[in-house]
Amino acid sequence: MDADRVLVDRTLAGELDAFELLVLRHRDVVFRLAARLVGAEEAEDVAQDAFLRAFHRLPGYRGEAPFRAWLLRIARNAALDERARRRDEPLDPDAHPEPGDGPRTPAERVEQRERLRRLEGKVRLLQPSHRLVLVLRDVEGLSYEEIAQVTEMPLGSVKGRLHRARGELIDLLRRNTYDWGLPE
Amino acid sequence: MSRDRPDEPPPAERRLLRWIAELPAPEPTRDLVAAVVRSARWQRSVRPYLAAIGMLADAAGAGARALLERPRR
Repeated sequence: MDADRVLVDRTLAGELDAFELLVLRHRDVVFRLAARLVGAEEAEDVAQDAFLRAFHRLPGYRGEAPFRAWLLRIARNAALDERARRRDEPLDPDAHPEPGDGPRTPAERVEQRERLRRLEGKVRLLQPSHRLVLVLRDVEGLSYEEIAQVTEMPLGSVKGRLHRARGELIDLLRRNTYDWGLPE
Repeated sequence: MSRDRPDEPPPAERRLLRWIAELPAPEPTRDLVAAVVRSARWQRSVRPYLAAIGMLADAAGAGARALLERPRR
């Protein structure tokens, strides 16, 4: 039995410490997904909401999908609910924190920060269904099977959706002032 | 993290993936674990009361419906 399943069973038996370990194990990926879907400023609330929803729904977890995929599906729904709640609010790509730097000259560091800030902004402009698949695959590195479980899409549709998501992002970047070095 | 054997993506996608790999990972600023566990503990303690209130409300609703749907003389 995998470690998550053991912790789920212990939580269901009333051990809150086991649930704490589950949160600890998956906190980072849930937070990162939330941040990419709704923005860093709302991500903590969405992540907390997702974990609490999972806590209350644990009795219904049958183990048909891996726990992480089940949890990320809940996190996706929490993020969608949050987006629906503030549907009319404009996106603010500048709300993201400044990205980190590599060992470059000061001028290159400034340009790299600006590029990555713009890239984050463009990811947030993707259609929600494209953004979800792109983040799960290209940012979080989930397998196609896991993405199918999270998104509740047929496995065969995941690759096509991912290809269209990348295409949309490439189009957005080509319209940007920077040369992103994206060949035709 | 698991990866399938990637099909060879076209050059523009390969370049895009290199840019995406440089995106910094956002991190929570407050103690998310403590906040979740605190809320879970509190919600678990009140859940039986909420369930009882829900059952009472259901019963009251059923009673009211029965009264309203009773044929009038």
